[in-house]
Amino acid sequence: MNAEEKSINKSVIVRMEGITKTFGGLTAVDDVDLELMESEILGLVGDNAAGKSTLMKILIGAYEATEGQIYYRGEPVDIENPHDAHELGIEIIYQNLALCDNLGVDENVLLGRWPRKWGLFVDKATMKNKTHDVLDRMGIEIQSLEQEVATLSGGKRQTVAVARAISFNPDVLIMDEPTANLSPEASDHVLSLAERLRDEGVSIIIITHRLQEIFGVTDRISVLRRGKLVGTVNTSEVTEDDVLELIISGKRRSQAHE
Amino acid sequence: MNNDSVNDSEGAGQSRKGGINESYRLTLSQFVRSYEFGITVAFAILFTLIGIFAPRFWRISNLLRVARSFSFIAATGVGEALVIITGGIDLSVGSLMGFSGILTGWLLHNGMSMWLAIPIGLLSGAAAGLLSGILVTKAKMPPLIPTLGMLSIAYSAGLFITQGIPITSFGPQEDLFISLGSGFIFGIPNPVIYMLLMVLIGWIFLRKTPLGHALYAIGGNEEACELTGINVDRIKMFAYAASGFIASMSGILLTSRLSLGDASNGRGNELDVIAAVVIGGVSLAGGRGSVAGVLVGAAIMGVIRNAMVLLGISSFLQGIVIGFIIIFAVLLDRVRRWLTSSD
Repeated sequence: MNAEEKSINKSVIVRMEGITKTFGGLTAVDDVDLELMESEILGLVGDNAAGKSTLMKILIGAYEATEGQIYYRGEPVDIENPHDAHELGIEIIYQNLALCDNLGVDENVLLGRWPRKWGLFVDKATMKNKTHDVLDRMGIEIQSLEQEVATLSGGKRQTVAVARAISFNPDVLIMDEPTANLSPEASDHVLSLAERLRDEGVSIIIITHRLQEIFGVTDRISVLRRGKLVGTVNTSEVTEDDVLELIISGKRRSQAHE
Repeated sequence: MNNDSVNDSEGAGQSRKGGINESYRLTLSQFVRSYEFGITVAFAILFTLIGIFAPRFWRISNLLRVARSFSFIAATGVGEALVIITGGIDLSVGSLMGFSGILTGWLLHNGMSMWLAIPIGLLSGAAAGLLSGILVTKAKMPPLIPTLGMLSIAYSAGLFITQGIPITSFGPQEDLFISLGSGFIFGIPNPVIYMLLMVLIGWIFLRKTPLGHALYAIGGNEEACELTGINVDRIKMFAYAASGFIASMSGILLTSRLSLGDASNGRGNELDVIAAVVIGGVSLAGGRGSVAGVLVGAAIMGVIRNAMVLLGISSFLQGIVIGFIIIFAVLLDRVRRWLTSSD
């Protein structure tokens, strides 16, 4: 059973069709078709200029596609800005995390959506409880929610960024290089967090160029090379070397031998 | 070392109580280690030392005079702090103090009611601040530029209105107007009460309201705020407008206190205001500091000025001393930033 056949069993939540993005004369993304299934973890891999981030920025409305159409739960949608993506239930966690280092954990998780009391003041108690709820849902414990994020370890900072995304109850979560700059243990935590969310029904795209780290957690892997989608594979049916071959040469090893 | 722990949710639930206790302890130790605590101790030492060398310093009448002299700086510093917390700076506050005082004074002089002349003066400062804010956010100018331009514009406009001749009479409501700045409530000079009120309002605003929190968030990471849908531009414009508004309020009160509407009022005060804010622990990089610190910062400068007078040190040296204090405070800010970033 190949990837396309398997995809029929689960329903498609996001379908990007014929997506092309050019910057001046440069084609960053070239006629890419990408599908994300409900409650799966899709790895989006490729080397540095493969177009991974550009493709995802189109999905969350930071860039406008030069050509192509996005379908969400089967309906064609126009995602013109991050707000549109947010309304649909698509959240992204950026590589640089987008945290306010000078604020506490709770202030960051609910950044800009601080609960109020009497309509006028920030309700710190509710803010703490809400943050606890989100962290509990993720099975994460942070001792002091008032602690400045600047003083946290890299892994915990990543957790705070995930917690903020989760607090929006997204259906689709994009994680941009979530394990960059993390220790192996912290990477494992973040990836097991992704699995936990997948099991709760969240559809996740993990962008990375560190294939070996995500190989264990992904259901499928899509490979971009020089702006083109060169293949999508079911992780259970291939080896890391197969995917590496795709990243490097754009061909499946088996195909190359044929 | 990696402290991450992934527990099951029961474990996290049980630890909730402990976590909150922990946070109280953290808050106390944070306070003791905080910059505000440090400068308050420094101020207390200064206060004691000056009194030992010049006992006249401790007289209530002298202390109230000192407090009144720095009250305009401290109050204006509250507005300046709002801007600096977002990572910006407002150089126009001194000139706006002068301009608004002149405008209100001139309107009074020409017979306008105080209840109209004062709001117009306040609005002029708010409008000037808003314009700076628009140029910073929409035209993407570095904050130094529009506020430096506004410094020049407001000063010149003040000179033009007065034609260089100070306004000394304030129309039919002159006595009432002058009593605003020169009067006392329960023996405390009005400007001191005004300062304490501004600090209290500023403190509640920054610590308790969502808008205040947003100012800190913008100073911490503007991009992150934009991504989560905080209206960064509008909030920054508000900060500049508020700074202009508060500068005007101080300027009008200063005009009343001096019974003099002159372009030299407030001139150069932007340096004292920014110094008070920075000495008070508001980081020029944005995102950190409190208005309580601004109050102490302004007090430290006011007390040092007074001490130099009492100790008979040449007033020409004041600028040198204050200059070194400003440099020292910014140096301290650098060191603090360096320490926190290396954590």
